[in-house]
Amino acid sequence: MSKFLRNIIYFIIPIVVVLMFPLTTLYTTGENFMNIDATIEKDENYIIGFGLHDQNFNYLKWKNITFKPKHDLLSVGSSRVLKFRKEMFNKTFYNAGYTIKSMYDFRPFLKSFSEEKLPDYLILGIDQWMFKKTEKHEIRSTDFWRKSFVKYPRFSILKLVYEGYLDGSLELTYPKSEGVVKVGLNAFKNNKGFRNDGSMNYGNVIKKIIAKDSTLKDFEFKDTYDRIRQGSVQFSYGASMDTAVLRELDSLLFFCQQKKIEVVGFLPPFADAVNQRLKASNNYHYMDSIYDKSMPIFEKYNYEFWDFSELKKVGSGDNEVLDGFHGSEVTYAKMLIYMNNNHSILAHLINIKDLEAKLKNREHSLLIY
Amino acid sequence: MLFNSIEFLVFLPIVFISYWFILQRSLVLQNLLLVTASYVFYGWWDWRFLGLIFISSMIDFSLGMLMDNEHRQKLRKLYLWISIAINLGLLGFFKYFNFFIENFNSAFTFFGNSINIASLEIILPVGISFYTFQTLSYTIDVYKGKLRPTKNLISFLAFVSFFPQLVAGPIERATHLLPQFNTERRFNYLLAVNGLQQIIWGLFKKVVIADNCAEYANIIFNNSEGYNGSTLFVGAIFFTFQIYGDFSGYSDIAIGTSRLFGFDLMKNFNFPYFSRDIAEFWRRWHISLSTWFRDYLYIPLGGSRGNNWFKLRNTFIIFIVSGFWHGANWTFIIWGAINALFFVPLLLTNRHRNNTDSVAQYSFFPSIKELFQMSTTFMLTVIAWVFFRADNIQHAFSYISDIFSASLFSIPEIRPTNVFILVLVFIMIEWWGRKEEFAISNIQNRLGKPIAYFFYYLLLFVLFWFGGVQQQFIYFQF
Repeated sequence: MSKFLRNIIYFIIPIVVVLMFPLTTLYTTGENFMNIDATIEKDENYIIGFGLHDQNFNYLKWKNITFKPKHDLLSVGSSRVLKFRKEMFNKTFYNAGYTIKSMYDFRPFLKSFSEEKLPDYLILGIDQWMFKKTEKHEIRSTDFWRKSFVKYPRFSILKLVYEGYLDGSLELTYPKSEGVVKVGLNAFKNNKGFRNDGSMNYGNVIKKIIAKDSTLKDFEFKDTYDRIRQGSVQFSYGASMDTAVLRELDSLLFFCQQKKIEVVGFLPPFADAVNQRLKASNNYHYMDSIYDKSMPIFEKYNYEFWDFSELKKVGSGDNEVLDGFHGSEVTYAKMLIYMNNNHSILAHLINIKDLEAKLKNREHSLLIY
Repeated sequence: MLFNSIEFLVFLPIVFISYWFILQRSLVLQNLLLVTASYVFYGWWDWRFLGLIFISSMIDFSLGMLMDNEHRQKLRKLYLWISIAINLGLLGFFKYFNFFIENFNSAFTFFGNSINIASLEIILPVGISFYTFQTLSYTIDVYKGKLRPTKNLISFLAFVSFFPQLVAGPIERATHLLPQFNTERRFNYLLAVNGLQQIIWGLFKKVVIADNCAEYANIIFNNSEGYNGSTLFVGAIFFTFQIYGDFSGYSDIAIGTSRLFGFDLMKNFNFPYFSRDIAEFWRRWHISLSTWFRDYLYIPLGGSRGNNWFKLRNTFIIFIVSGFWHGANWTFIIWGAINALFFVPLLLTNRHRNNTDSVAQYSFFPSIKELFQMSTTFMLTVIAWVFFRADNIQHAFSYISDIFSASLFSIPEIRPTNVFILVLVFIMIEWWGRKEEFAISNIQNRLGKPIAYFFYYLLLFVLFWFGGVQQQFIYFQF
């Protein structure tokens, strides 16, 4: 027995030495081993940007909603709602984007926190691909977001860190941040992550877009075009809408009505060039009737539903997007102004004068703050 | 907790050291430790289901005791049927309730009536298909007199919940595993080393082969209408290796981990993709489940005695039930039926026991005939796996018909070279070790210690560097 343990220890010593390097990086950046609750509860200015643990953001958003006092307004959806910021509104606001993958996630997410934390107003970002017909749809339990946090790294994570060392994209340690608390590899390396209000700070990505850096993943929408060509990830093909999703939408809006939540839904934009590709590919006919079929459901509950699939509707363009299917702060500011000018129920919540002024005086096409 | 996680990496040494260093003088305390560790392991998934496994264990333990004290055959049979009803009832509720409701609703609608019985949001307890069958083997064997019921509650709880095999098998027989909990275990260096070898090999199969193949199998299956025939064929091959790497990898880790604690679990996979016919495949794939069905369903139904219709009936029952065990979807039932269709010609022509030895028994390379047989059998299983993986039956049929189109001979649109190489190397290692308990079990004797140790480090490096995006073990959903 002792011989066995001794031999094991000799065997794993070199492995431990090798693993110490990525573990050091993960620990010092807070990518792993982090007590995230303490950071959220302190509420000092932070950027939380996990580089290798995307699932942790589910917990981050859930914790912010459940720990802090009730927010008057929440935006909920995928990454395509993340450009709404608290400065845009005159009521308490939290951006709970990046928590939703399908239509079936909304209700469990809203049920995952107690009723007193439910907002008075809800902006629902409804992605077009949520309507694609699929036989299997995962029903997440209400525990999903609470249980999402991964504190300790998996083997695959350690490898990714080593790859980062080899290609120069990661360093062993990073200098301590000044003025803002940074958590996670993305925060340290790219200054990218979630702010206290839940919106996304894109950090160095913005600089790269402005500089037309060809190393960007979706430079000139190349990655989005690849996904359309392969029918991969969100861009898997579909000829017809899933009527079951419409039923789920109805159930979701019924739930909101029961809880006295005012809902404003919208279809987020694609870049113009991407819209053209989608149409030309002839593989996405399920998208043709989304607005027409969903609008009556919203109307049934006296809720609003806005189709912002095309940028030009709000006076935005491809120079104001971050990638093929994410508009920038400018786009989303224009969306709010459009809604304000068209008598949206959000009008009295939007800091319209400030927003218009910021838009007018912006330094470039992607940011207004 | 997953086997390939840091939590397990911390959990296992703590349990191992406590087991052999602190508690080695007391069998009872060792068993108690195993029960505690197993409940912690299981509770890590979802603590709410600890009650279920405990209650299920207590019911079967009590029924075993009642059977032992009862000499009247009628009452003994009643106790047995209570055990069967409760175990299958639990399984039926958690796993099949919504399936039956949805099909019931559909059937009513089909006949022009309107009914909408609501389905429930039921969370499937991890491992329920495995531990219910394991406890059923206990009560059935006690009833048949093959096993004296244990009066040792701790041993029984440990038998049901034993963490290495709790959530995805092998499905152990009470006659094989339970006595091991009542026998003193002594630490054996060679067995422990062998256990570690099997764990590493299992991790390689799961993390490198299965998870890498899964990534591409998922892309292709989820967008099958947009790909050409050769790509769909590649997707089917990837799934074939994904499910093998995933499931046999898990079994290897389970068996290897058990060996660390002095337990012997049954072999669950015996190089099934080197089978020369479907009958041989089913003697080598998920052995614990197929033998369970053979002993507790097929043989009581009459087995292969009787006329051809009788044999056909029993064969189809077994394969379809086996398919249904995998999941509440018609695709699994059809998958089972397809395998039955493949098996039946061999049964009816009495060739189902032809290939009972190892392929290329006396040579390193297979003969042309063996190669042809293996290739044919492999292709048949690939076709059947399409049904297993597809979203529904229409998807499966359209997937297969799109494979066998003119575009089968075009270049695949997805060609991950590194994964192809990894799979090829994997096949070569499995071939090299096909006569061993697992591929690398005898590596030190065959190649010498230095090369063996170099190979272990290489495996760990490959695990670390080429490990795929983590996917849940497929069989956890069963």
